[in-house]
Amino acid sequence: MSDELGQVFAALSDPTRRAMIEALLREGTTSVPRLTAELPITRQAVAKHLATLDHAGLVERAPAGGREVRYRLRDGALVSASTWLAETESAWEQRLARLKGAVERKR
Amino acid sequence: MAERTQERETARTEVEIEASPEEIWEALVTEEGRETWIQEPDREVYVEVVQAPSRLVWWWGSEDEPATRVEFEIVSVPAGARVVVTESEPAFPTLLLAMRFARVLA
Repeated sequence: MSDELGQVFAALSDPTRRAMIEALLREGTTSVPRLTAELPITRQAVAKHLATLDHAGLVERAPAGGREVRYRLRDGALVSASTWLAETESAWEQRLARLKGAVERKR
Repeated sequence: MAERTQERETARTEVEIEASPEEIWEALVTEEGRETWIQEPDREVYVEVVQAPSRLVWWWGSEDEPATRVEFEIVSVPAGARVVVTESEPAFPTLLLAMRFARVLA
C-alpha cells in the first residue's frame, strides 16, 4: 500500500468530502459556488475540502468553459481504493474460512 | 462461506462459525490460535482493544506495508456465532507513525 492510497482514504473519511464526490458522480462537474449552495458550509470550507480532494488525486479542474472554475472527478480516481477493498476482502474471506475450519475442528 | 459487503473506506467480511464466542475468542487472542488461521508470519499484530468475548481491535502491518486497523465483532447466533471483520486504513498519519515507532522499539 502506498501513501497515495492513504491520502485517498483520508480524503474519503470525511462525510462532507464524500457528499462532494457523490455530487460529482451525479452531476459530472461542479464549482465552489454550486457546492456552497448545496452544502451547509461556508465557501471557504468548500474550497478547502476541494483542495484536499485535489491533493489526494480525486478531483481536478475541468477545462475552462467560462469565468467560473469547474471541477470534475479525475479519471480512475477511485480505482486504487476499490482495488484495495476488493483485495483486502478476498484475503479476509480466505482467513475467515481457515478460522472457521480451525475452530470447528477443535470442538 | 464468508459473505462480503462493502462500505466506503472499510473492507468488511463476515463468517458464521458453529462454535461459541468463547471458543472463537481463543483463536483470535492467543498467538497459537492465530497461527492456525492467519499463516502470514511476517505480519506483526498489536492489540488495541480487548472486550472478551465480543470485540477485539488490533493494528497490524509488515515491513513493506503500512499498518491497518482490524476490528472483530463476535455475535451469538442460533447456530453458533458470527464473526464480522472490518479492516481500514488509518485516517490519521500520526497513528501510522506511531505504529512504525512501536515496531522499532519492540
